[in-house]
Amino acid sequence: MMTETPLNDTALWDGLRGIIRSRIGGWRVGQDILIHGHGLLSELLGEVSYVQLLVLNVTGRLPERRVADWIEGTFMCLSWPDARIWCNQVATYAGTLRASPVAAVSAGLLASESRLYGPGTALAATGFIVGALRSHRAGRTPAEIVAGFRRDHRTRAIPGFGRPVARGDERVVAMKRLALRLGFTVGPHLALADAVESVLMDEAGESMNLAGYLAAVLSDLGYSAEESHTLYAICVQGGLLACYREAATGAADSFMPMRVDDVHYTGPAPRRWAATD
Amino acid sequence: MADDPPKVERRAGQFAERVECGFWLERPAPDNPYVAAAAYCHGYDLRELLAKCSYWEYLYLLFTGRRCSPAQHGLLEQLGIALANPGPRHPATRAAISAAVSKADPVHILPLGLNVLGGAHLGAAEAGAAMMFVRRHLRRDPREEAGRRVVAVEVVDGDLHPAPGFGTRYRGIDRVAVDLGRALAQSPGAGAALAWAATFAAELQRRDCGGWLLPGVAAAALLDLGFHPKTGPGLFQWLSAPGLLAHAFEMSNQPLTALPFIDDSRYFIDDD
Repeated sequence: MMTETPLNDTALWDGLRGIIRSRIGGWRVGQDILIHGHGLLSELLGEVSYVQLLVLNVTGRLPERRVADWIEGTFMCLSWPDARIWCNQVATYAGTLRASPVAAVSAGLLASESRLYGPGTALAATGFIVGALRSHRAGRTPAEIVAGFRRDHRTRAIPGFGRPVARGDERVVAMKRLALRLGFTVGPHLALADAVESVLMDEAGESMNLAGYLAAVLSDLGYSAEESHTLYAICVQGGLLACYREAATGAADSFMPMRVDDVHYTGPAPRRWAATD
Repeated sequence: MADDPPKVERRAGQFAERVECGFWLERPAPDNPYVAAAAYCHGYDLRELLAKCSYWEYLYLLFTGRRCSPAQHGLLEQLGIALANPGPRHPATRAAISAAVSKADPVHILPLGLNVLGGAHLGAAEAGAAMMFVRRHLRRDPREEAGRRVVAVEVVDGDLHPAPGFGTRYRGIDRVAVDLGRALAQSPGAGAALAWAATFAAELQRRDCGGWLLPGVAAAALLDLGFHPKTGPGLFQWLSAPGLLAHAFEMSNQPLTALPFIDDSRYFIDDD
């Protein structure tokens, strides 16, 4: 422990100064670009889809095409042009103030890393369903798993279930349809997620949300929570750019303009800044 | 499953109809309801604040709604100086420099640097975690707490991190952070958090387990100033912003070749 690496032993950093050591790949100037042992120009280009390449970049594993197509479907369901959606609204403000599209999408992506929706939910949703399956295999029923999670985390919310604005999630239904068409079978995480959904539906009419469905299927496919979180980091970009573009091509500062009295002030009444306050 | 989809319906009546604000009042211009004619911060007219209060007093007022004492004013100003420049070797500064030299749009330099500075290692997220840590342990004896953590600590990525905001840097003592932490702990505005953290850090250092790191210094000072841990990460980013910008703009007129572009012979791909 501490005695194994004495104070001011800088060997680790000395060995890394002035070099780059990559486990992923890099540009071989004039030859090719290597990504986890695959040649981008000689092997991947024209043969794999953009999402297959994205998954390779993030995980080091090249998925089969239907997995990439399913992930692409989830990207489509996760991002669409509606400026009421919080991250989309951020991109809209960027457009109405004439920020660049890159600034808009960057700001919107940051907003999307939320505890309530977007890629920020991947860790909690995956953590829940992976832990739930472990408990289920140890003999606990879905109802007991739900009760246990609520007790341990002192919350009623179950990650991956319920939505802020609506009850139910039509995207899950559409994605299950696509999965069926792509030949996916229901794995143990998704089967348990369906069972948890039944418990929550009976109890309060709450269903699995898209994050919960994604977490279950990606876990069945062998992706870790951190891999899923990273894979979906840019998943909302489509809606962001659409909303940005609409605002950027409209009149400046015209998105939901506010009159001064549209803000309801609840603070202290006007007062003087006395020197002795 | 797909044959029996859940019914989807919008939840009713849960969102506010109007935006509320508890600290900023605007008075509309008589001839245009979209234009403000005057603005008040926690009830104080902005024009009066401009004439009568310092930037740091105003900042304190903005966030807390209270006027700071001379001691708090001093501590906040000292913290501002302590955090203002992470230095040219900090990865957040290097990110800003890298973007500046590669001629990124100048408006992006600060946001991208602050994004990097948001990290859980030596960044804003660590400052927030350090605020939670210090606040949660204030009633415990800092020496005993340090002792417990020294026993349990493990080397991770070459360093010791016995608690958020405290530990080793490059397996050594971060002497600048130690000096800054000690100085702030001696400030008339220092309170229980800086005192606790100073004792905790000194005990870690005595046991060869590191000491103050900058996020820890920021955390203790922000707690003594009365800031909530949720505001800590943002304040840490904001107070660190000047240095990121200064370093980036020092380099922004330099050619692309002003930074190293590692030679192929020193770029190793493990798959090779």
